[in-house]
Amino acid sequence: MLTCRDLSHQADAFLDGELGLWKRLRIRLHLSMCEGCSRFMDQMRTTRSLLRAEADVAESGEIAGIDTILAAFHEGKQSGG
Amino acid sequence: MPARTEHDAQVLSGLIEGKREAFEIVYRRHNASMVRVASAILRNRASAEEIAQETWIAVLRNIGGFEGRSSLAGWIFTILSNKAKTRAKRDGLSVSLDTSADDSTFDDAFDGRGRWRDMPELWDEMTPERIVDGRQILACVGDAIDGLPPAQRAVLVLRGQQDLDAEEVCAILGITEGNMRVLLHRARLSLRQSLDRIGG
Repeated sequence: MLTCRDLSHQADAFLDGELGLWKRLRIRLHLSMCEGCSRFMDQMRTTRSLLRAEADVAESGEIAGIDTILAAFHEGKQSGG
Repeated sequence: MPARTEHDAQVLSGLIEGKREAFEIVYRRHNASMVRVASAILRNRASAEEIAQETWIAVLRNIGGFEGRSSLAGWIFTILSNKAKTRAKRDGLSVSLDTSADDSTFDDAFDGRGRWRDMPELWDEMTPERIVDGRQILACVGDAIDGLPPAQRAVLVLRGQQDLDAEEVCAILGITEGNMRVLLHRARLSLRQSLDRIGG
């Protein structure tokens, strides 16, 4: 019988789609009967989406460094470096 | 061809042609993560920013030679990691990441029969827009990432945010796939715990 602790260790692999059919079924069965693990799995899903959202925020952030980089690149090209 | 891949191909050719807009897209997509990964190796934010800048110059100089054997992101992060390791050696730092990741703290959440001691909270309002102590929750997520042990932070950024292939992540950081999985799992659990402290 799959325990809540077992499930917590496999949650990541489950969400990454890395488990075989039998293991996935065992997890789905456990989730259908266990409120705690259902909540935990939802928390892990939310954690992942917040992680991605944080990267998206960084993507829309400042780009002040770009000009320095382009200047250094062009300078290097002109001096043949 | 999927839209993202087609877009990536356009960005790549723009980059090869030296177009500023293409560089801006790639810079926005990767720079913050590059600084995080470099600081995981160098343990120093200022050095990490320098290494990210040097990496961009190398990317612009060598983009014509990019053969597409890895993803563009994989290629960029490989250059970054090589530069960061060289700097670490020069500064007398250990180059290998400490890949130990202890799960025992999390196991305290369960009783002797492997059941939850306390029912996990419902996170009804855990959205990116939520404000906690005057800051958006994503700022708290950022702090939690920056507070992770270096190896976990590097894996989480490369795999969980930059979506690099598992093999690419292992090659860039010089770790095994088994290590990577444990570190990634541990990092996501830590992040979950930080969010749980903020409150469901």
